[in-house]
Amino acid sequence: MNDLLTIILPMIILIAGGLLMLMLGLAKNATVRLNLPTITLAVIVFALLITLCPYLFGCPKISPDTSVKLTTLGRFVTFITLAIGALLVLVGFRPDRSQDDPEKSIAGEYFAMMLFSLSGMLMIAVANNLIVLFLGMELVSIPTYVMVGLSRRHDHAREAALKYFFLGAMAAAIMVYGFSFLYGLAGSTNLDVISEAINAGHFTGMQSIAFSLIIVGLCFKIAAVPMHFYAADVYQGAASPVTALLAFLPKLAGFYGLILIISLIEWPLLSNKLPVTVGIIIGLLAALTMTLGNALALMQKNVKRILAYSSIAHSGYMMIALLIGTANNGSGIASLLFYISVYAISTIGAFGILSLIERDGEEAQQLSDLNGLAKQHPALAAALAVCVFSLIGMPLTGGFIGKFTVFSSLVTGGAVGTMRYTSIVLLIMGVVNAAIAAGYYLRIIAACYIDDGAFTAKVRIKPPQAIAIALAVALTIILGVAPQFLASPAAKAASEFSTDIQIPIQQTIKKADTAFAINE
Amino acid sequence: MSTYILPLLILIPVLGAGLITIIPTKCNRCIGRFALTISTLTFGMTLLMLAIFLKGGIDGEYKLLFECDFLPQLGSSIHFGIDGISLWLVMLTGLLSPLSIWSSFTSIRQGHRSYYALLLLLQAGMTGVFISMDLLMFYMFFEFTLVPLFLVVGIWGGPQRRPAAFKLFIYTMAGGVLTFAGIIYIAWLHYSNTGTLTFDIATLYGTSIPESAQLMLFLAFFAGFAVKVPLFPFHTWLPLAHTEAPTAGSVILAGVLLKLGTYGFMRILLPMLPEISYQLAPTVAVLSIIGIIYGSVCAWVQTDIKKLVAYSSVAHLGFCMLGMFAFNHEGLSGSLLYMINHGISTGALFLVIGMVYERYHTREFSKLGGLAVKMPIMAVFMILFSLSSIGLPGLNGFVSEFSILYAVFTSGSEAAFAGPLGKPYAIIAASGVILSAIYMLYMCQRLLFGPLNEPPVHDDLPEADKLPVDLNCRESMILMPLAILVVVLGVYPKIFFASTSPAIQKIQDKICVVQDEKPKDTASTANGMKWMP
Repeated sequence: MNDLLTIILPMIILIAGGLLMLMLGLAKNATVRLNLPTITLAVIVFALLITLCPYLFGCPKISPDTSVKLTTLGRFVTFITLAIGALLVLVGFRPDRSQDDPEKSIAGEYFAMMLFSLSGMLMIAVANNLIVLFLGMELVSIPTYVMVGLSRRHDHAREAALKYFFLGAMAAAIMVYGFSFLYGLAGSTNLDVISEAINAGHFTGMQSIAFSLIIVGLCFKIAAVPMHFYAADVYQGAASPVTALLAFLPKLAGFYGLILIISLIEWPLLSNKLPVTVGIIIGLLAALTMTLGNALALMQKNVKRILAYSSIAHSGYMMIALLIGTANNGSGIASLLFYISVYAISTIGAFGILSLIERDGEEAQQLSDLNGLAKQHPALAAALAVCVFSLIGMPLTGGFIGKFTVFSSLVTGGAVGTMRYTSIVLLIMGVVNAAIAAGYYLRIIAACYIDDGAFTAKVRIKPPQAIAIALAVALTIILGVAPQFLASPAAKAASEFSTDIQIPIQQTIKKADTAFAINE
Repeated sequence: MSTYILPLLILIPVLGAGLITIIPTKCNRCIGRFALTISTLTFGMTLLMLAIFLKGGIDGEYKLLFECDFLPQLGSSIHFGIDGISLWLVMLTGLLSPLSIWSSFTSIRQGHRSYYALLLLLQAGMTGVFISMDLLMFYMFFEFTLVPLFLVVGIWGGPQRRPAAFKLFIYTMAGGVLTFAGIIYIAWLHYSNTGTLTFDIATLYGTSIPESAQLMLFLAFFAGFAVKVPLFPFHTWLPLAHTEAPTAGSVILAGVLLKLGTYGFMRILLPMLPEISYQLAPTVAVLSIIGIIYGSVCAWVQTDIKKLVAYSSVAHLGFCMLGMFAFNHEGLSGSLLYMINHGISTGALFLVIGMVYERYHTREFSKLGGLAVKMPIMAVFMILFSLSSIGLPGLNGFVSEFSILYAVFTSGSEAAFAGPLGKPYAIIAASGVILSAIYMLYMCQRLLFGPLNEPPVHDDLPEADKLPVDLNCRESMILMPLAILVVVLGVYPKIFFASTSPAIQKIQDKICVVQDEKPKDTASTANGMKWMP
């Protein structure tokens, strides 16, 4: 088979599936519409199987000047995107409320948008070109704007969708503006060519401007401070299954985009002479993001807002890993990918549970709505407790291993040269923030278990959601007890990614040296 | 077989906890009995462990080793083993857990499944701390114990349970995360020295740590362990948590969980950072002595019996820390024995108080008095454990208290290795012995003797669970093993010293390295216990 086709086949399957959903969503037959989630799930599983095929038949070889490139890291990201995407479909598996009228049904649009968004992430995972990267980013984002608006018939949802759309569009514009500088500097949109150009040339102020703009644009996607203002309102406004998706997909897209962009220069960031500004920006943003996210979360009474601000704080921890990147055998990237997977699984579990609890036909959102949950629905409360303890980072859940890998990569990868004190400061800030986070996460557990008050909300639980929550809880615990099954592929993917990138850099440095010698 | 005993000590309670949540029965007593069976089975395994350990001879080496990969690329493995130090603490955990589960049969009225499941998880977590030979594993179990404890205190606690549980969790976690940072940092130091990333405790002992990093690492480890101990002034979470926790929670908290901190000092902080510990020993000793006196004085003025015992823990753990920082063999082994003794006698006191509380639903001195007439069996146990807590010669408390004071007294004047402490510390700390006699006897006198003063008996239990006026057979059987241990360890402490001495010696060799120029005569310190019976 054509190598190029092998790379983009999963993406094509998802897009074709999305188009199919749009058509089937208008079907007159209500049974067809009821089965839309099942078909979506089948499409994702099919794409997942196709993704695994190169593992069986060997990796396709692609000449370096193409716009897409399949790295081991990209394949790993594709894999976790699809696996967690399947979990998201299960969480969002809800009966269509307007079964009689196809025109009022939104199931088709909802699942089509989800598939489009996932396919955008697959596109980013294979991007080797600024245009493809930008297309992927927009393909991830635009469907999420629609999903936020569609998800609830409530003014909050409309407000959230509009806010998310305008701010997202502005962030995209800033990012593209940064891309244009890179294109101007290198004369090409191919990432390999740009990387060579940057490493061969001398430091210019233009590069700083380009990287700063791109980082600002991408930081919007990961909700890093000070690009975080939309997060709480949007998370609160959207229905919980959509919020779960927002907590995962745009974050993964943003971080993978950052990895691709920063891999144009060398890791670890602060010890490199060229991108000192980039290192300072990322380090500063990481410190600000985790501290402010946690501080703001402490003040909330609404569960979804607590989780929204905590998602900001989690972005801060992941940015620490970004600072290390491929240094020390790719430990930074490996820990970032592990952390985001664990975070996504626990968050999806938590939002999945919240989406089941209803009060007056609306999702229950206040902490007080959870009172008495442990007595009425002990299994649900226990599942929520496991997810929340994982988000705190308690041992024997995946969250602890995530935090451990991030901090460990920070110290082992970063404790060199000028970066040593920065990494110690970040380490202390990180662990202290983990303790602060316990303050608000415990309030969620206390609301379920400790606080007095009768449980007055209704719980609507269907088998698919039960399966999704059970899977999320099981994975959270398994990742805490036997993390190796995810940590080891992540480490492998990241270490191969680093060699993949570093070899051309070393060659170009040699080239630059010889060129310099000839000049002399 | 012997390889799998230590993992089984963790797996049996964890699986038992899982089974309890799904066991199909509506009978709450059956759930309790099932939990007791699992916990007793685990205790049986610890006895088997003891037998195999003793069979292998006492030489201070780790035994019953078990190892498998956890995160190999980050240098961490699941590595279990026991030596003379952890042996006794594992035994203490194994003994106190079934007793505390047994004591909850009538006092827990709701949420039986989750309650017993959490107690079993707690048992697994505490055992894990003591048998871990990998620093990351140690920390994982150390932090994990907070989860079940938070829920036990928070759900089944007294009226102030919410602030108590929050304070307990946040204080210990805030200290713990700094220890976590220290653990990562020391592993990195070892990595940058040798090129291998490992969390193996025995390997990390030899890490050479630059002067500048020593104080930072000391403070990082100190933060986590001192809060857990708790050392003055980090003790403020303890009285509240102790008072609000259900009886089993208080027993486990006082009996075992506080020892996680002292064990951390003995196993990790002192051997890894001997030089800075030696320099800072006087500071720690002063904090310990303040803890002893302050805890005793606070205990004296309490009007709630449980709070009195809680403050007495602050004082007792001060002794424990003081002994460790004397930097000699008597101090270390006395401190270890003190951990065991405190677990036994304070745990037992909490059990007795819980039994009184179940009958009268009050712990106020003003509402209780002269109970010896009505509850003679209870009175006997209470006096025995109070005397053990005071340190009456012939009972276990005396041996440990005496060897700690002896160790501190002689610390600075030994020819071989001059310890950091000396006579003034011992003399001031000895006042704690008198103070403990005052508050403990005061408690016994007000509660047991004098004119009878009892509130109406609260007996809203179902007919089958009705409690007699005095302790029933179950309650006496719970206290009996602890009473026997109090006497045995008091009369014949040699069984303890003989089994721990080689392991203590190994720790001592690691920490007494400050003055290298003076050749140290280990034989004289090792035999320093000759005066013991």
